[in-house]
Amino acid sequence: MAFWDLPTQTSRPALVCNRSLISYDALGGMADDFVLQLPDFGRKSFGFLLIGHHSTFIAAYLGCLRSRKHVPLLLQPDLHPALLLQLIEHYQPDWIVAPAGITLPADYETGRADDVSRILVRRRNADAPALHEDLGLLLSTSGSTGTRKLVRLSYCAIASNADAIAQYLKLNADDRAITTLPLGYSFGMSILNSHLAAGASLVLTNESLMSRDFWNIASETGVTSLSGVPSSFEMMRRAGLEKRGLNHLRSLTQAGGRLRKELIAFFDELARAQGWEFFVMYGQTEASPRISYVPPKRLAEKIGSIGVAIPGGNLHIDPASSELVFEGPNVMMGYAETRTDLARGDDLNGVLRTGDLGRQDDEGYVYLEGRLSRFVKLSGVRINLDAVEETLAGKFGNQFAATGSDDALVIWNPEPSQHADSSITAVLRELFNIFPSMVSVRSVDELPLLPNGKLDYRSLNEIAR
Amino acid sequence: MTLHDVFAKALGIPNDAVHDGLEYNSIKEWDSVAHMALVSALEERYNILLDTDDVIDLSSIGKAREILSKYGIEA
Repeated sequence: MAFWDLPTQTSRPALVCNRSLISYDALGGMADDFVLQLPDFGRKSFGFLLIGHHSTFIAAYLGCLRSRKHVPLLLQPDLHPALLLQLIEHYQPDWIVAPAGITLPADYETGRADDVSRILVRRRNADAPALHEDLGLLLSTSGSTGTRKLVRLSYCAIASNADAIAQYLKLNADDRAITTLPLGYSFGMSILNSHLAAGASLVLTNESLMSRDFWNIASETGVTSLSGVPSSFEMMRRAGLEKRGLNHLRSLTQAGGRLRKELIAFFDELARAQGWEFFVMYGQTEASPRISYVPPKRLAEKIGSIGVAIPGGNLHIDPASSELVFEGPNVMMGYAETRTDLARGDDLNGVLRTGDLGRQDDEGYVYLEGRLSRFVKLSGVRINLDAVEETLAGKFGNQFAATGSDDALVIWNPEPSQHADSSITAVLRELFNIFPSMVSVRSVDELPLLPNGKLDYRSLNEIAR
Repeated sequence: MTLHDVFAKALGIPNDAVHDGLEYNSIKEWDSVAHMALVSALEERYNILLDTDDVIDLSSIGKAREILSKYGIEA
C-alpha cells in the first residue's frame, strides 16, 4: 500500500486546514473528485501543480498519484511569474492547477475556478510525447530559479521513501506535523508523504516561524514535530521554541543543508532537556528525497555527520573520487530537460552518485567534505554557482566569481568601484529570491585563474577561510 | 538613523516605501528571513536584546514602536 492509497473509511484526521479537520475518508474523496475535473486526454497526462498550503492542492496531488493517469510537476506558488511562463512555454503542460490569482497564460483556458484554485487546460496538445508508465511525479532541481532541469520520480520511489521515513522517525497515527516548509519543495513534500504513510496528520498554514500566529496554531493543534532547513533552526532559536507551548512536541528534524555545529549542539542539548528527539538528516530531490539520518541518541558524539542510510538504503564512498554514493529504491529515474525526456525509463537503476564528497567512520557514519558540483543551499534551496556567475555577467557585463557554503554565498567582485555590493545583492534577490543576509560580496584586485584559464575557486576558498 | 531608516535598510526597500502601517509578510521583502535581519538591526541600532516574545510579535512598524518603548526607547 502506498501513502496515497489513504486508509478508507476512517474518520481519523489527515489534514488540518483553516482549523478544520479533514479526515482520511474525506481527503480520498476530494482526491478522486479532482481527477474527474480533468479532461480525458486519452493518454497519461502531464501538468503543473502550484501546490499551495490548502487541502485543494493536496487533493489534486493525491488524485494524480491515485489515478496513475496524471503526472504533476510540483512547483511553489510564489515562483516568479516570468519564470513560470518560461517553464510553461518550454514544457507545454496539459494542465495547470494553481492558486486563484494566477494570470491565464496564452494557449490555456479555464477548466474550473473557485475562491482557492484554478484548473487551466491547454487548448491542443495532440502531438505530446508519451509519458513513461512508471513516472509518478516531477520536482524541480532548484525551486525558486525556475530551472528547466527536473527530477523524474517513480511511484515506487516516493512510496518507499515515505515508508522508510515513517519507519526511522517512528511515526504513528497520533503524530502531527505542520507546514514549516513549502510543499513544492522535496523536503516539505516528504513531510506530507511520510505522515500520510503513517496515518498521521499535517497542519496547513502559510504563517512562518517568525510570527506569533504560527506558534498559536502549532500549539492549539498540538503538533508533535517541527521540521526545518538551517535557517528555520536559527528562527526557532530566536523565537524561543521551548517557551511556545508546544506541549505535544516530540521531535525536531533538520535537512536542506549543513546546520552549523553550535546550533546542532544547542538543539541536541535542548531536545535532551525537553525529552524530544532531534534528527539531523540529509537528502536530495534526486532521492525522493531522504538519504540518511543520525539516530538522535548518537548525535552528541557524531556532530557534523549526516548519519547512516535510511532503512532499505545503502551508503558508501567511491574510493577513486571520495564521492558519496547512495543505493536504494527511492533513487530517481533520472533528469528531464524536455518534454520528450518524460518518456524515458529508469536511467540509474537505483544508484545515485550524490555529487557530495565525504568519508565514513568505522561505524559507517558519513561526514561530508565538499561538493563536486558547484552549488550551495540557501534556505534549503539549491542555487547553482555557475548560473549565478552567468546571470551576474549578463547583467553587469563583468565576470564575477561565486563560491560559498550553505546559507553563505560569496560573490567575488573584481570591479568594486564600478559595481556596488548593493546592486549585486539586489539582482540576486530579484532573480533568485536570495536574501542579502545570505550573501557577502568581497572585493578582489583580480579573479585568480588556473593555467587553463578557468577560475581558481580553490584559491578563493583559501582567501575566504 | 530613524526607525524607518532601520526598516528600510534591513528589508532592502526605499525609505518612502516604509510607513507606519507596514506589516510583516505584506510585502515580499519582509519575509521570515528578512525578519531575522530586521531583529538584529533593531538590536544593534538601539543597543537592546529583544526577548523571544518581542521577536514574534514584531509584526508591524507600529508594533516595533510599542516594543521599543517597553525598553524605554522613543523611536
